[in-house]
Amino acid sequence: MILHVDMDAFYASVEQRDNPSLIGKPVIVGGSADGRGVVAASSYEARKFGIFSAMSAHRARQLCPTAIFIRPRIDYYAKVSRELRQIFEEFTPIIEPLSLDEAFLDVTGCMQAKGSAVHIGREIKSLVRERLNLTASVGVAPNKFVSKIASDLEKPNGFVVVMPEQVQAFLDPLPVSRIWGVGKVKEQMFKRFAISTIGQLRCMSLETLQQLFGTSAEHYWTLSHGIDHRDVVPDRDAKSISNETTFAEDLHDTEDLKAWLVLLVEQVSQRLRRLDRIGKTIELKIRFASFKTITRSLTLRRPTNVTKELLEGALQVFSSQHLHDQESIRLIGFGVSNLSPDGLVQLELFDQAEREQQKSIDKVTDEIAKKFGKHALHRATAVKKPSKGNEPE
Amino acid sequence: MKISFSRPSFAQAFQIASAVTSPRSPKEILTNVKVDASGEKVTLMATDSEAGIRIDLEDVEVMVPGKALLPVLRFGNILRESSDDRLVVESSENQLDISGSQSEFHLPNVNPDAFPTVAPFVEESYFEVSSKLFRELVRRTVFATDTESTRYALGGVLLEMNGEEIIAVATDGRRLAKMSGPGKSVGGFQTSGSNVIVPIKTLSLMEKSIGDNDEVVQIAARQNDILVRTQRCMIFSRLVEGRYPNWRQVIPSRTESYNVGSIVGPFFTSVRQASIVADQESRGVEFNFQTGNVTMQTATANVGESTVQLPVAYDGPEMKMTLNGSYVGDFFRVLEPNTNFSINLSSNTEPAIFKLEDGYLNVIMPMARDR
Repeated sequence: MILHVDMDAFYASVEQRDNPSLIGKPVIVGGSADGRGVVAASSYEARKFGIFSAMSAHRARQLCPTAIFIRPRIDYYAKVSRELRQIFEEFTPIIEPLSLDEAFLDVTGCMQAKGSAVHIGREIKSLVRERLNLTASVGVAPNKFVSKIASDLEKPNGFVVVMPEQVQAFLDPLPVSRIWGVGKVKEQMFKRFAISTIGQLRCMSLETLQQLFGTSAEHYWTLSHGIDHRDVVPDRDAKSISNETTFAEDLHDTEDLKAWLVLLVEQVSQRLRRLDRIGKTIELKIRFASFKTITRSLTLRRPTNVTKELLEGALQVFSSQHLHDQESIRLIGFGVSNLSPDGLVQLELFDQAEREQQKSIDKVTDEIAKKFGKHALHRATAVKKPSKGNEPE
Repeated sequence: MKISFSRPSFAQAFQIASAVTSPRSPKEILTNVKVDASGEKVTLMATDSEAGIRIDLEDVEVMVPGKALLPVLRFGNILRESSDDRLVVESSENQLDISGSQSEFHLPNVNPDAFPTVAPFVEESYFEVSSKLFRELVRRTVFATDTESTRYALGGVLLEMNGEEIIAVATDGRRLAKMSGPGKSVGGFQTSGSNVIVPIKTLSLMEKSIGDNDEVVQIAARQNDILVRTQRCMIFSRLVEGRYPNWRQVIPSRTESYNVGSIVGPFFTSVRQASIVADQESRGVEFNFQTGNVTMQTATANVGESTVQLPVAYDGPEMKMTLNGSYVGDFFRVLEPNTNFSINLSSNTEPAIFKLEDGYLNVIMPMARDR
């Protein structure tokens, strides 16, 4: 059985928890009251006004003039997220985090020791309330697809269980837009064939669907039958590790961009080290204001998780792009793939001493980050931390 | 100009000279080899911006002295495809005529006067080594260079010539090959520091031009280039720019260490066997040295496992270390199978030194768990 745990209005709830005067009020995390930036998260009180994530702060203020804007504290949310993960780890090692506030858990193997999936779900929910003073919505179902729908269905503070024999009855009345990959456009297409619920979709034969939707037909067909064979992939088994940040306002200055890149590289390499992985291929992603997106990759001389080595590669790729200060950049991302266990590596003749020094610097940085939050210590190059924009996660 | 020559020997010299030219040279004139039959000797010359060559020809009969340019591609093809033993080349104002007994070719003629001069070897101080040693200096080091490295210096072979010894060093930063041997300094020649870094393209050209002849090779290095002369041939080349790492510091002088003794042939065979299922990426082979024998092991997920045993002369403590099997193989590949060699070991995180008695050695850094 699979659990999908999704925190309710995570960033906003954390802020309300720490500052009780905000409880019951429309709270917006991200953006500013003078209408700059975008909404990163909003409390349920704010959502009643029609405010949602990624909306411009300007629009949000129009909808709800009394809303309280709060600067995001991503470091802090990440710390809370680690506490959340510790709760999960008491039950199962198979955890696939989707973001700071959301994760899949495969509890199939631990039901003998920890009780039924429903019991584990209840336990997690009450531990989240007791220890974190926050609420989570939990979906319990035989697979990822159904559990994710279930956790969302009675949000906030929801708890929905779908036993294997109930899957069909559970899915049938739901709108087709619940199926992953069905957006506004596809929904309209389904409407034209008189399909508005998953149940109606299920009654179509695969052959008919293939005529209508071509290659995506099988995807719709299997999900409408409640079939989803995707495994919960613990982040330890991930094929790549990456991180990106969208700036609330486009950046122009290459030095600012570099400073952001340094932060991203530090975080990705920290994650690699935590998971005992080394990576050989790095990828830089840049999205321009025009939404044109480029990705450039580089295969390193040897696999590594040493911050300095990854950073050198990242900066090399970055410099090769010859960005001008006039160009507006919306997003920058950095990732490492081609991962392998941090096992035997070829030692170097000449810079082994330097490499060992870098390794110990990383160790100290990791320790400090663990204790004081990940932005407690940075490379001097990252000190030029832009005052605007979101924090990278 | 009108000359007549024996096709096979001319073709061999022409091929070596052609190797200097680059077919896509921005200067079209440099896609030719110049033949100069105006003086005492008949000489072929070729150059690009990085290197140049002069080869003196034998068996050439000069009917009308003069100079001409021979286009690398077409003239080379004629030399290769022709079935005549002797060919006659004659240049007139507009045309280059090549004729044999069964065939003739006409190519457009290019004015040879615009061809840049390839200066002859006029250095008075230089270093002399035997051609046999020179070939070994090249063959035994060139594989360890790293032409992909951003540290350009590692793309060449370092030569140091002092007093009575010449040393060649190449490294890719993980293993290092060093060969040395006797030579003779003429006119007080010696290199200072580590700036004579020779591009591998030039080295292989030099090796080829020496051929199997037993003769003396003269080497002169200047600030930015190197000149090498044999009886028939002179090559100059620009040096690789960049700082060469301090290679002496990675050849450890050990007080406490252990030696393994064996013979190239059987050891190389065992390494090749063990490497069959080595990881494609890392090429790691675990060597376990015990009294009187070595066990080589590899284990790669989804590929397989291997264990190969070989008796060796060893009486030190048990030592387990992982080495890149390709690096080890590179050391053996340039050696005769019946050669004795030794491996000097200290610990599994310090380099293994593969040694011959004649001064040749490879320093190979092991693979280890990164601390």
